[in-house]
Amino acid sequence: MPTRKEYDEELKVINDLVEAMGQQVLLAIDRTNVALKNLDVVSANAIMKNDAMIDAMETEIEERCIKIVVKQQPIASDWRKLASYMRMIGDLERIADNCSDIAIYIKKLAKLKKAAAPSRLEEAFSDMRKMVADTVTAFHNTDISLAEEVVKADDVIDDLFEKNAEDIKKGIQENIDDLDAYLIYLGIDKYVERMADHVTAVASWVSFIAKGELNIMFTDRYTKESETK
Amino acid sequence: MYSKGKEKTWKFFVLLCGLLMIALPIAIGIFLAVKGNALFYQYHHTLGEFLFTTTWKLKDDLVGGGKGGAAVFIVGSLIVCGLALLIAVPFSLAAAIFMTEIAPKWGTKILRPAVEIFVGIPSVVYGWIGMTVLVPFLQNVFHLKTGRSVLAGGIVLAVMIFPSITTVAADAIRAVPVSARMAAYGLGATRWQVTHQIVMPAAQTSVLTGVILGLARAFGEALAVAMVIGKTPAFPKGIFGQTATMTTVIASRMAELMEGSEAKAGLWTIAFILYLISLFFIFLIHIIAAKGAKKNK
Amino acid sequence: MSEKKATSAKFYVHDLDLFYGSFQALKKINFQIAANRITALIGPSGCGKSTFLKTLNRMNDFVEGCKITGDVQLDGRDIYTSGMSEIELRQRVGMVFQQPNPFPKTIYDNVAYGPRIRGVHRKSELDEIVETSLREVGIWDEFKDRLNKSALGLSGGQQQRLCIARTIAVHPEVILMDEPTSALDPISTMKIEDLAVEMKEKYTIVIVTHNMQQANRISDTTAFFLLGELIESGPTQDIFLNPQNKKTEEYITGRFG
Repeated sequence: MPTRKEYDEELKVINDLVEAMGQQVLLAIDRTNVALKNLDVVSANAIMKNDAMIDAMETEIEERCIKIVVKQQPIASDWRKLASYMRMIGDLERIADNCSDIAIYIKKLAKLKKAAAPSRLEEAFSDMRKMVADTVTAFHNTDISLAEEVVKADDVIDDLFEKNAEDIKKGIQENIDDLDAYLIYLGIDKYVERMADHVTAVASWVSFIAKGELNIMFTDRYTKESETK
Repeated sequence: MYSKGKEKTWKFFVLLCGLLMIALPIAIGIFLAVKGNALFYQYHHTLGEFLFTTTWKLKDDLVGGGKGGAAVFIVGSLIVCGLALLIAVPFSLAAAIFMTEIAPKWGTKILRPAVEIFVGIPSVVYGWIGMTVLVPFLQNVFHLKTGRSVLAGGIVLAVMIFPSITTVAADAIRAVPVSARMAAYGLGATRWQVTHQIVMPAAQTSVLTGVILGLARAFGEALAVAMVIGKTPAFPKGIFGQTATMTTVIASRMAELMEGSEAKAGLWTIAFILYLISLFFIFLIHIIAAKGAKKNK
Repeated sequence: MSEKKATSAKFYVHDLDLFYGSFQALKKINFQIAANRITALIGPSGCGKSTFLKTLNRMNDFVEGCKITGDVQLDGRDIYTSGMSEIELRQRVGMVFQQPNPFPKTIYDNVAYGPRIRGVHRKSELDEIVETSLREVGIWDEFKDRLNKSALGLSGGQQQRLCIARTIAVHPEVILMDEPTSALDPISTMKIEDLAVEMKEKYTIVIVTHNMQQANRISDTTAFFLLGELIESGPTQDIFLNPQNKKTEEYITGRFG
């Protein structure tokens, strides 16, 4: 049927756009990582300028999804995909925003005396980067088990966040003059942890497309926290 | 290939046929009316006398002065045709229902052609069989002086009109949509209920039309009836009595009377009445059909 | 041998095979229809869904050469082999057809027909049944002043709702609907869909439909038929969001049939 052909082609376009957006976000993360290591202000500005492009990608994908739902009334796996795309791109865009937030911090850090970064910040960053890379791969291959691994990996990041926060506390106690820098590192640490949360959600949507069971992974941090004194 | 000339010629020919079809019955009607009225204008009888006098004593000459009326023949026609209907209709309906509802495969393959053959048999054959088989049979079974009777006439006519009523009724029943029957079955109706309460009421207009057509045919039948009815110009004494009908009297007397005589004029008047009666039947059919159509709106 | 049936099933169908002469129209159907729910039967033309539907009220009996093996149980009693009369069955299991088919009688006589053949003749009783049935279908106000007009003068949507009223006038337990709205305009369709959803409180409804959105909108359970087989069945939301069988997915997303 000719209409379905148009439909199938459009579905493929949207799918490819979502994957491309994922790749762009991964790229932004890598750039941010390098810029952070080198406290490179020029790179930081470039990262922030690039955010507009990623925002534009989200808008385009959103529009296409909305139009195609009205036109084709998708159901079953078609609908699971489209519903998931619309949620996933929101989280991806937030990850990209967080990169720009970190870029702002990089510029601030560059102006301050060099302070010691938390010992496991780099580890947290690369773990988070792996999560994003794995999610993009899982999306491309519709790999449920890989997506589920990503979801599990979020606990590690949460754990690292706590450890980094400890380091920062110690650093402030030992070097009160470097307070500003340490506060910035705390902020960056928080953003990394946020980004991991967002990508976990993306991974659970990938599972939904494949399995059809809705099981969005929200962070359990609040539950855990509410249970302590 | 389209040629204007051909179109015109074709249209003209068709128009001519159409006009002829209208003109012919009108012409016949006028002819009968003129001939029929001779009795009243030429021989000075009155309509009342003609319709209600029970004796037929018109003079077979050009002078006239006799007295006579067609009451006997009119009544004779009515009785014989009424009897024919009474006999034929129940059998026709039953046969039609059997053909369409109960054994439709049989019905189309065997019964329908059989019934249609009946229609083609000439009336003289019916009359002959009636005369040679039915009349003696009645004579023996009922210990009559003669088997020629109103009953015989009724039976013969019934057999003659049975096939036409049956086919019309069967078509009417077949025309009732299957969907209406299915709806009734779906509600838990039995086959008898469906036939009786859904199919027959829906078909009734058409069936009635068929019955009237049968009646019209019966009214118009002369030869077969003449051969078994006794041709006595008097009221019948019961169902085994003899009588004559409008058609039989024309058929039996027409040849022997003098041309233009009073008696013959009387026969023409009867013919004209027959003509009017058949017009009436057609009119009746149209009214019934129109009412039936209106009911469904 | 029939196995034990589930307790909440209105209809229990086990290993049903149906033949029209030598052609097998239904192949080993195993299915249960829950009471007071709407079950939708979907599938491409010729897949057997209408045939299956007509098995439930023995309307297939009217087809020459139709042979059935297997169990079809209504409330635990086999409708073919337990000696249940088809008359009694069809009073308990009513049917609404694809083309509205009111009798060529008045509106009143249409609705009163079922009760009349059940032996109800008192006018007061019939009046009440007619009014209740028309009210239940939501057309009493529309029709109350023209009960003596012919049903054939109504529009398609009105006729179909009249047919529904006629069906419920005999107080069935199950109502079978064979593509009841496919010949109707969108507004009549919507009215009948709303009606079906209201009615499932009192009746068990089984509906054959070509319209996937309709099945999706109103049914609780959906069964997908293909070439005489029951391919997949389950809660409607699951079937339409996450079908397990590839053929089901292909059909409902319109990629064949």
